[in-house]
Amino acid sequence: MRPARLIAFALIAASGAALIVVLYRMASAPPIDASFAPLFQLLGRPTKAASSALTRVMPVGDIDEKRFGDAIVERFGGIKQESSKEHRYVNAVMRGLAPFAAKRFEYRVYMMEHPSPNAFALPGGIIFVTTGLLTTLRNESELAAILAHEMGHIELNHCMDSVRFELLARKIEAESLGRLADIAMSLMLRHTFSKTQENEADEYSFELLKNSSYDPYGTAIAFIRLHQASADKPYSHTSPTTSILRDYFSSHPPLQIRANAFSHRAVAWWRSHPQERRYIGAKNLSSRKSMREGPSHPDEWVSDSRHIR
Amino acid sequence: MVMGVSFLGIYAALALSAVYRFIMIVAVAAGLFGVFLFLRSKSKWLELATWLRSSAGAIFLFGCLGSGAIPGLAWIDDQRAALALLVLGIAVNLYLGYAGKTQVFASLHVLLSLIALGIAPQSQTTLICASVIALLSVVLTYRARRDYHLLVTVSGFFFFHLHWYNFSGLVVDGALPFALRVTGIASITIIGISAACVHYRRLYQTTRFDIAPFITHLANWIFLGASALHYSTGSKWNTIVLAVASVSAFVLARHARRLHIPWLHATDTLISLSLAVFAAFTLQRWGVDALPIAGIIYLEAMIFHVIAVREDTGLLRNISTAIRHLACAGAIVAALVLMEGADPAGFVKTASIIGALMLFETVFHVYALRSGIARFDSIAAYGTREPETAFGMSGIVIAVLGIAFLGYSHTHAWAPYAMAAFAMLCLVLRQRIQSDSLGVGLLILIPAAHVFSWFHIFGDPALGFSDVLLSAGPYVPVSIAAIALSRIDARDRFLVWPGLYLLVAHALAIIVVLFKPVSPHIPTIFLLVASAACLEIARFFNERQYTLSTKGGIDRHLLQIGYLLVAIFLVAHLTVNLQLEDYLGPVRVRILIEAFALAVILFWATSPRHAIDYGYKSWRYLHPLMWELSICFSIVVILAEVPPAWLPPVWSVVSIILFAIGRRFESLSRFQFHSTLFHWIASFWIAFLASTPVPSLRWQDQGWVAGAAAVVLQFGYVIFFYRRAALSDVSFPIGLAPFARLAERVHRRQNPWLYYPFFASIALFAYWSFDASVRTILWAAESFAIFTVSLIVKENHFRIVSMIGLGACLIRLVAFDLAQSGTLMRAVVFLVVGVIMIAMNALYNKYRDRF
Repeated sequence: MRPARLIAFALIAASGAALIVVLYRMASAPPIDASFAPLFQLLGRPTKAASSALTRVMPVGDIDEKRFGDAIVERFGGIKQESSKEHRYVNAVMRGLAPFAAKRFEYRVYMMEHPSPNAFALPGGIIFVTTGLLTTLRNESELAAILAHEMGHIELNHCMDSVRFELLARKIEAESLGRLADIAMSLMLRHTFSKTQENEADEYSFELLKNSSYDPYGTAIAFIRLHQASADKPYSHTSPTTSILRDYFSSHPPLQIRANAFSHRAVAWWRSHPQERRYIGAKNLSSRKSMREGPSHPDEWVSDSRHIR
Repeated sequence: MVMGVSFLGIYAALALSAVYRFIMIVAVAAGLFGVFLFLRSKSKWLELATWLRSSAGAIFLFGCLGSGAIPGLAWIDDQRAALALLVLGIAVNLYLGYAGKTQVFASLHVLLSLIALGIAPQSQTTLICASVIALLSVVLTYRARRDYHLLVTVSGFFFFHLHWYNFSGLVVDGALPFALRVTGIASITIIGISAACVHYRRLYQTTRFDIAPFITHLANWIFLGASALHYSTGSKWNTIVLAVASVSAFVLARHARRLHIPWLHATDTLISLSLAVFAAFTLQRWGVDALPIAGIIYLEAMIFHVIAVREDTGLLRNISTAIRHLACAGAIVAALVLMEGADPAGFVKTASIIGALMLFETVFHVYALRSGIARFDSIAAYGTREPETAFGMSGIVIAVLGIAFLGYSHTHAWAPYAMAAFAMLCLVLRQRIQSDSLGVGLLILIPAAHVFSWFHIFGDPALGFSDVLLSAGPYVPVSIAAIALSRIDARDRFLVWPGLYLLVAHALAIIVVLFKPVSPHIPTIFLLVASAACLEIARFFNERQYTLSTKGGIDRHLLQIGYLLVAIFLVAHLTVNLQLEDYLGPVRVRILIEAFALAVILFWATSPRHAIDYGYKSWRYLHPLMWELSICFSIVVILAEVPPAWLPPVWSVVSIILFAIGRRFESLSRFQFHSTLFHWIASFWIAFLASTPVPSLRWQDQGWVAGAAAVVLQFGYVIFFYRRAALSDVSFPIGLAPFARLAERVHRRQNPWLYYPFFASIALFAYWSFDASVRTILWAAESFAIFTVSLIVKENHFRIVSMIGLGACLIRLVAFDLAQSGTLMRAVVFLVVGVIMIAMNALYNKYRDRF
């Protein structure tokens, strides 16, 4: 073996040994033994990029999207509740997040009566939140994380991607044709980048919380709450076993992986921002009075990561 | 007259008393005998006369029988007197059978005698009489070859005995009185043995297979055995009896061989084996289990086979092969069937028995191979008298027994050591005696042993660090020995790959078991280090031309293992390591692993080109692609680690780095083409994705900052590309041949391929990232840049594009900026556009000749 190669091999062996020692001491373990979800997230990036590029070149803008959203809201008229305390509260939280939006329409949150925790976004700045979500979450930062996640879907044009052809077709009064095109595209591409979209929305949520007054850990803990709520349901993506088919056909990455990723990032953020103070807002959630419009409780402020489990 | 005589006879018979009827019968018999005497002098009537004589004897016998046993004829009350008369009749018939001088008459009179005796009331005396009849009949066969007569005799006596035992009413409470038992055993023994000994005479000497005496001899043994069963008491001492009988038959068989009576030798040898097998079965009465019994039968069959082959008797040899294989199958089935339901305490005992059988089989195989009889243990022995192959079944038998052994014992601490020692012994033996059969068996057994070990260490989470090492450790030297002791003389080669792959797989299994509970990321590091080690060891072997390399290809297999380890790492990284989110200080640990992986892949890629014999396909096709693997892995790392907003400048940096490498190293000239791919990716990202909104109000977080940085880097790239005359001498390895055609196409018109995507990306980036009020300025500046490029590269189409762009800016200036912008903004826009137009005009006038 030539000296250079010998030295290189020795370096590799030494580096490997050092890495092994580091991993041994950290005793880090993945939340799922082996999951193909992160791989599918990465593989979905090119397809997602191409889809985003296609949306970009279409002559449909924020105004078109807003009108589409208004039309959808009308269809949900019987379900949404606009006069409840919860409705006012979630919209107050949403208004605290709105300054970070780039889209030129107002974000509106509607409550939906349903016991299971869920939230979904529609084009035009429409977000629906179930009553079950408010009972599952424990503080306002978690709610802000969920709303920021849905906001991310809208800001990053995920909603637009699914209705672009219909929006385009509306301009020439051929909505049905457009709807068909959207369905066809969705069927072909849904599984290839749905997890990528969810990951992008997660990133958006975390970045927004970092730049807001809320605790960045809210993103991770929200996933933990949702995971705990869904653990005993059939067909929930909570099993720790490996399944490539499940990972491919699932529209979301596993909650365990998401919670684990953003927990660590929150801890790293707190370590690099020792001077920061952030708001949790447990009392705000329970009293349905947001930090912006209600009292700001002094004991809801945290300044390190000790509250992170 | 005949009718008259007949009627007279009937009247007389009906009217007369029993004694007179007897006298009448005797008279008839005497009359027939008188006719015989008259006709026997006439040669033409001799046969008829003989038959008449036999008829006379038969009628006389009938009369004697009827005197004591048939109602209507019976005139003697005393049973002893009646029996005496019957004996007289039998004696006459026996004489007539003797005097007949043919088998037919002899058999006829013997049968008649036995039937008559059978009709009489049975007692000890009748059995003795029957025995005498049979014995005398057997004696007749010593005079000459009377195979059919002997068959009739032994059959007749068998059925008589059957009748005497079962239907005579002598059996009381399922058992005979002692005296009768002794008489019965003695009679069947004497008749059986005397009949058997008939054939042990030179009279039966022959080289061919004699069917008639064979059937007679076999029938005699079967009748003797069946009759003996009647006297079986179920005593465990029957084992001794059967064993003695087996030995006796074996001795007789040897005597037959000396007399050159092959069929007799074969028959008695088979009988001997059958008795030995029965003796083994009766060991159940001694409390012996099924597996030891199967083992004993297996040993008996083995001994039988050795003797048969060494005595070189064709039929017996073939039969012995089949019996041996059946016995092996029986032992294996017994070993496997017992596995279910056996208690753990019995597992060790069972495993020990199986281990002993394995050793016996090994010893047999070595002996067989050394003495040249192994070829008769092969499947080929069934189809030919002289099989040429020495591939016996021993190897397979050893392997299957070994698997059964492990099935019982693999959870015990001593089992791996026992199996490892046995495997090492077999490896040494295989090498020394060059046994293909043993080789095949080891190819089955050693991997199976490893699998059992993996089941144990993976299946028991309670095993500690040292337990795992102690349990799995013994198989490591076995794998190493399998590599070193793999020479096949017939092919002048070493078969190294099974041992090599097993060694690596086993080492990996141990590492996974030891470290996965701590952190599943640790084994992935071992994979990388092991792959680098495989590469260097392969080079070590190849450079020094060791025998294991030149005649075993160990270097080639090590290379393939190295590739495999890298592939496994990639899968593990994508499914396990990508979930790792821990931080070591400010650095994510996953990045450290990725950097380490990249270093190892580059270590592979930078391995000197001619270090290993280029004749290896894997080295020729796969190795050059290690560079591409490093690029692809880098892409994965970038996508996983770099925030999306900063991807455009990163792609630009990658394109610059790849281009620089491609220009610097001739062997990597294709990197210039790869750099154009990244240039296009960067352009796409700048165009459509750099303006993705970010949830931040700080200007430094906005997408346009990274986009602008990417644009600057792209400028640097295109200048670099242009000045270095890129893609002029680009070569691709065999695996990337399709890229060569694409590269050639790009090279022919490289300026449009390079600049237009870049320009389009800037235009779109400006559209989506900046406010509408500054777009005119940006696009006008871009038009100026395109114009400048047209001057530098001296291509007119760029100038035309820049003119079109500038024209569009002017239109926008009038249609949009005048209408919608504020006064100050309008002024700025008009000023900037005006300056740009003046500069373009000045440049055009100066460099007009370039167009």
